[in-house]
Amino acid sequence: MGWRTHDPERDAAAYVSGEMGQSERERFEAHVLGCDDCWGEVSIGRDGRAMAEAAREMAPAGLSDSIRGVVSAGPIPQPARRRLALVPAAVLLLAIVVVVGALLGSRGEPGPIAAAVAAARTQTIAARGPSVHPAPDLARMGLALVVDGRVELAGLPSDAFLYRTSSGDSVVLFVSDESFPVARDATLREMGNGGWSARSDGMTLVCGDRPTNYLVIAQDPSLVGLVEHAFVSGTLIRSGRRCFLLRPCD
Amino acid sequence: MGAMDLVYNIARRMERSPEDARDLVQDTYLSAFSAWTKGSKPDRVEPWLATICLNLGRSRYRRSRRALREVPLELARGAVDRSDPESEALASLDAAALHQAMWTLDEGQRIALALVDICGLSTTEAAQVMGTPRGTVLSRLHRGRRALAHVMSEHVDRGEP
Ligand SMILES: [Zn+2]
Repeated sequence: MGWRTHDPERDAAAYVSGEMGQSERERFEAHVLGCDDCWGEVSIGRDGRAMAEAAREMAPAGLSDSIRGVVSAGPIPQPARRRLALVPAAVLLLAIVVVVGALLGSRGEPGPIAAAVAAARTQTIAARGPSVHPAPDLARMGLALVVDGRVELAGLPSDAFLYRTSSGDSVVLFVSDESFPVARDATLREMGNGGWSARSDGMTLVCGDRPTNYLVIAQDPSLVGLVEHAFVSGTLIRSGRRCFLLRPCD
Repeated sequence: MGAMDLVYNIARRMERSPEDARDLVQDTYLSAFSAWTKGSKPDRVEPWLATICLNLGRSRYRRSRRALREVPLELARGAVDRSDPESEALASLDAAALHQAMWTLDEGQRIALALVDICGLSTTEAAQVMGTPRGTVLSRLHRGRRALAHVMSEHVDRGEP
């Protein structure tokens, strides 16, 4: 089967960009063998593309931080300010960080997941206000609560609890009344609780919807498992009263 | 390529100086943040950021043209050190020379190359970002590639004794 009427520029552009389907590509390649115009355009198009690719640069180191700085200096939603004054300076971070984190974040993840991963990676809880749910007390598991607060993960309201082990590893537990979107390349788990697990940007994620929607993120998969287990088993026991693991229920 | 690298690479084809490119990236993120907090939720962040960057870059470009602050086109050529002819062929392929060569292309071609070849968007996505039909993107892309290959081969030829 022959090639349609040729358009050397556009055909070469699509071919060199790798945007022809297999059968279209095969027919075009057969045509190019006998057409000097198309042969020449494909050949120079390849050279030009290789040169353009070679001009690719990385954003300068520090640009990301300086943008965070500028954005953070801008107007901040009022509820965040009072709450943030209570947070230690070392972890005092702004709601904006989560959004910027999402914008800088991993390709293809749903916004809330990208924002949550960015928060966990940078160990920043962008509190817009106090958390709605009480903080699960995980001290007996060697996890100290560093900071908590109400956050918006690309528009999804959630509580966030950042814990740290004595060796400095951190883990973030997100608890929300809304369900979290499923991460790209997630593996669904047969736990009967709508759960999935995933890896994203070097972090491990687990998510479930019972007793309430939760998302746990840390670099260390075993830490993720530990916190999930504690959260699920602890809250299940006392789910009727909506309180969390090891926290006195009165 | 991360989102910020992508925006930076587009900004580098909208602004001649690295400082202005950094400013444009920053403005893009400020604008994106503002849109985001007002509820704009893109399906894919990359083409969305690319569109914002392009629109801001164009308005800055027009502004700087009005203010007659544009760098003469000649400055974009021949800035490679010719003191060592043997290494010139290699040097001519380095990123700085390529960057300058891209500034000899017209804006539409340069942006098409930035979006598709450098940033990895599809031509369909690039068409949405540029607000032109895909066929136009394909033409600009090819003409830009051809022109870049010509400019770079001339560049090497000029260095030969
Ligand atoms: Zn042909």
